[in-house]
Amino acid sequence: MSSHLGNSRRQMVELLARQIRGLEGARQVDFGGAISSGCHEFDRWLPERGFRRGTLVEWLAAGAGSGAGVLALVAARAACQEGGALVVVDRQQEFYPPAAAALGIDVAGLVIVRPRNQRDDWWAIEQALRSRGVGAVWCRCDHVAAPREDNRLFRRFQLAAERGGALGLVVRPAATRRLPSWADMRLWVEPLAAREGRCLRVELLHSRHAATGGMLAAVRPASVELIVDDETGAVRVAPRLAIAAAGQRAARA
Amino acid sequence: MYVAPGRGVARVRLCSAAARRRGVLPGMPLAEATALAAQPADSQGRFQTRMHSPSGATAGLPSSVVSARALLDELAVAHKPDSETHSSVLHLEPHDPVADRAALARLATACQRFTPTVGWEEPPAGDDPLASPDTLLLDISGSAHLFGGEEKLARRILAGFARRGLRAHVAVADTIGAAWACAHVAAEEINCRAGTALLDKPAVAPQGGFETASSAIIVPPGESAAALAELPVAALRLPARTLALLAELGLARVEQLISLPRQAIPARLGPEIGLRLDQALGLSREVIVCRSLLPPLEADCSFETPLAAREPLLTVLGDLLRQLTRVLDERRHGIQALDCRLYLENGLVVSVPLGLVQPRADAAYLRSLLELRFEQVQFAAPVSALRLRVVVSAPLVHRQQELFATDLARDRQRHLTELLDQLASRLGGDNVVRARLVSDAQPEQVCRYEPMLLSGPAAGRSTGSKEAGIASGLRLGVRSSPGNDSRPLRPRRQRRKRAQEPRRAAPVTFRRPLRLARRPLAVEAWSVVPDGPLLRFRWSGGEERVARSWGPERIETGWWRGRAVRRDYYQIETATGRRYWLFRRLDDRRWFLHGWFE
Repeated sequence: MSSHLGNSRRQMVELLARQIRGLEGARQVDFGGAISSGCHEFDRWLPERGFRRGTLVEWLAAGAGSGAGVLALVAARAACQEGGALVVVDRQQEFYPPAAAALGIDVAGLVIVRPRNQRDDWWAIEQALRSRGVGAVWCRCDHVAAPREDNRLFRRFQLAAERGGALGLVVRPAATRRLPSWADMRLWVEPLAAREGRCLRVELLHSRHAATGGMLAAVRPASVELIVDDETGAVRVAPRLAIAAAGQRAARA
Repeated sequence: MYVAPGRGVARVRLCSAAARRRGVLPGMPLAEATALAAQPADSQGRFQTRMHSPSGATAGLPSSVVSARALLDELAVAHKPDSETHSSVLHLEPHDPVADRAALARLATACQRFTPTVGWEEPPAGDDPLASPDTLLLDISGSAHLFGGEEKLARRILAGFARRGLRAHVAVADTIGAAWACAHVAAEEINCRAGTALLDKPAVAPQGGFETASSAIIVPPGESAAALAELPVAALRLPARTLALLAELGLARVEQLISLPRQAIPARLGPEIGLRLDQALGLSREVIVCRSLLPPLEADCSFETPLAAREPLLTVLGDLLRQLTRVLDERRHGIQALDCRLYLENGLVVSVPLGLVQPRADAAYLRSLLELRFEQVQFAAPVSALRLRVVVSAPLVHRQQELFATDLARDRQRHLTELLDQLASRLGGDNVVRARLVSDAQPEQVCRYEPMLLSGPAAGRSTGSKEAGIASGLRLGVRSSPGNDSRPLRPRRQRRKRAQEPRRAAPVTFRRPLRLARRPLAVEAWSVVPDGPLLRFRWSGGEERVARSWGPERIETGWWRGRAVRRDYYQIETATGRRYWLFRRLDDRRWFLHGWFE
């Protein structure tokens, strides 16, 4: 009986969410269901139970070596599982394919684009997002532009993604946190000290559909801690007590 | 004597055997060669030297077929005593590689009576920038019996060349490499153990002073290795630098190379030797690039008033592209590589090459790609003429349309192909790449990047255009193994031996950073004891305290790769949870930051 009630409640929430989405953005094309982030609990925490095709997701890294790129690449891998190429726009020429191979990505099918200047970098990202042959675009945008320019640029990225249906995953530095965002979702990734594996705290800074799906905003924790397995790259949600204990140990050290 | 005008000094390109006897050598300054040739003759009398241009192939060019070698150098210079004048006459001709290619193309056309698959081998880039192809390659699989067998076919080929006044060395073998070796080297050392040498009497009267007769060598199926064993290493088509290295090491014969451990050859002697050896022995694939006889496909337009604006230029470009695609459409071909030349008012010529992943015959699509290319080109002056040349065309891929079903995967592939074309047009083909992982200890060498354009499904087939119209000279040919397709040649033992290829895909490990610095960055590091675990390090102005570390992972490269790399790698997690990839250089114990686990 309770299960029946639970199901009907979930269906009602889904129905309302769809109606809100329809009111919010009638222009948005439906490219299918949500893409899993690779971790079920993390999906539940995300506003739309994962990532959606044709959207832009910003991953703000708290600093070099913070782990935002790996989480974005795991999402890119999931986005390309049903077809479509994974395009990596690497202006810095620092992307290291063996790490992608370790995550289970077929390196031979990876398209690596190396623009020579900033203008070509932005152009390549936009073209890749616009293409219907691309499943996901992974890129690092270290350049911090003026707010107005940044605004215009990411608006173009967003429109390109909506047209092509690719999932855009943009890894950006912490300095862009103050800038307004046209992305559908903006996530803050910060590493934490942990006893085992690699612990990353992910905070949702912004979402265009924050109240329309997944865990309701009222009950959603402000952030979630994820553990990335050192051997396999698998992602899981960390028990909070373990993180707290490790943090105290690190503070005493 | 052929003379290639160099920078300031004209030098001898090719010379006759008689000229060689008098001390003239290729590469020698012309003035020196002229002085040597003008010296009084020996006791046998004086000399008159007559030059034969390779462009007039029927006059002087020697050649070879199937697996045949054309003695271009000997043929290039004709020389005989003049009994009437008893004076030494020196004839000089300018070296003309374009005419050489044209002559070779005519010979390739003539050889198509023996097999439809006729090609020639381009000389390796680097050794000699002026080198022209001089060897014809013929795939006679399935056609030899039409002429009464390989031996009779070889004789007919020699006869055909003799009628043109040419001499040739013909070799028939299982692989291109073995046939090349026999045609070039074994013909001179004609003691090929496993082969049947059919030494002919001189096929043409030696009016030009040629000493070497035409010949044909038939290597029985499966005997390529035995035929190659006794030959010098030069028979493997190796560059001069590699041959010099082998000479230093005392490796003179192919059998010495065959006896070496195959795994060690690429690392210690370079990848070229292993590849050539595999090709000659049939362990590696080698393709005859078939030369088409189609005329060059070009379209051009001149303007009475030079154009400075790009829009009218693009309109004309669209018209020219429509002309080209209309012709190609009749052949059901598409353009895969195009060269657009803009002739500027100030006399300069701007070349704008265009490459595609797959052949296309859509003029509007090609125009849009050229428009992207033009965005990267600055014109110093108005354009007075425009010429388009199809460099590579290939058959279009047609698929039956489905009435009700939609093929999502095919649609995606088409969109992806268009994206790659666009990216490569604007950014350049070298900037749109795919990675190939190889097994290498040094992290920087683990990835090889290959342009996506080259790895397209139809890349590499050239037809039409000027390339087919500017051939000349010649050398060998080949017979593929029985039962195989004519092209590419896939020897019998290839599949079994493929597993022995020295470089396999690298094993993946998660302990590699997502971001690797283009060059390792020196960091300041502290540890409690020398060579002990790292405690702190300073990078980019900030200090990081180490909380956890994994390692060391020792990486060493062999001495044969030049400067040895010896490093101990550590994965470091700082107190703030950030992860870095650092190494300690074992030579001087200095620390470097090499990557970030982003």
